[in-house]
Amino acid sequence: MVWQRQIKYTFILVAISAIPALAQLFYCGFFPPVDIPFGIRVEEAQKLQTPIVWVDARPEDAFQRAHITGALNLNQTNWDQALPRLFEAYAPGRSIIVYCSPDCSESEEIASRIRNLGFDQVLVLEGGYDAWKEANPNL
Amino acid sequence: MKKRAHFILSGCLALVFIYAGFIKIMGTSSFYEDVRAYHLLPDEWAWIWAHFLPWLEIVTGSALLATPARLASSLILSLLLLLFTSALLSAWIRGFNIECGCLGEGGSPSNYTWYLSRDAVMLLVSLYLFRSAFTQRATAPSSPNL
Repeated sequence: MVWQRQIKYTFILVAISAIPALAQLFYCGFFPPVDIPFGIRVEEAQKLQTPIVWVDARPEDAFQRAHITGALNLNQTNWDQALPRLFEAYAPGRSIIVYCSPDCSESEEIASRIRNLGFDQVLVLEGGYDAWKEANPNL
Repeated sequence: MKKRAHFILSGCLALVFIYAGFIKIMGTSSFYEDVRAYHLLPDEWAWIWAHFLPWLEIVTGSALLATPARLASSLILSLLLLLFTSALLSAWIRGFNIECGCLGEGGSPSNYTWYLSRDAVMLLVSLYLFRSAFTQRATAPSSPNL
């Protein structure tokens, strides 16, 4: 009897929680927003007409060793500290291109976070820093 | 004395969960990203979970303060804390550097030791509350509202 009542309470609590959650989902949509990767190749990036803000999403030690000229180091670890520098570097009409190592997913995660802040032209460099270095060995 | 300790522990745990729920509702998109970062659920389910969990935390936290539903709510909270702990452990083992998504803290690198210790303490408290609510019922089976 006691357990029956408690099981009933458990279901009631879950149901009560589900009502506002469903209302919120109804309002926001039952499916998550599509996260388009917005990839860009090195040669396309070099032909871009708009000024570029380069964001290096690799760890700080890799950034210190070498990075694209003018890039700022912004990754999950230093997000809070480095984010103000992105706001300083950005101006309307500029493209933000995020890169990391060829086999990492950090650039997509950082690009997604930057997009969530309201920046619209945020791209991910395909092939990462290595692709850039290959195309620009003297830079 | 025991009653007072019980009251304080229930109140603290309830407040933590109600606060955590509100913080997540205020930033559902950010919490969805945190859930995704665990790589445990497909995006669609992570989206639904990110909308459902905050309300479950608020409702269950509030119910912990209401005597009739204390046993059920402490059971749900214990299960939730077990789930959180397992998810954190799994992310730690897989070497992810993620945000906990627990109490709205963000930006800092994963401090798994702190997150897990905090969850472990809350789990112990909720298990204690569950056990004591269970014992109360076992000793007074005829009283429906204990």
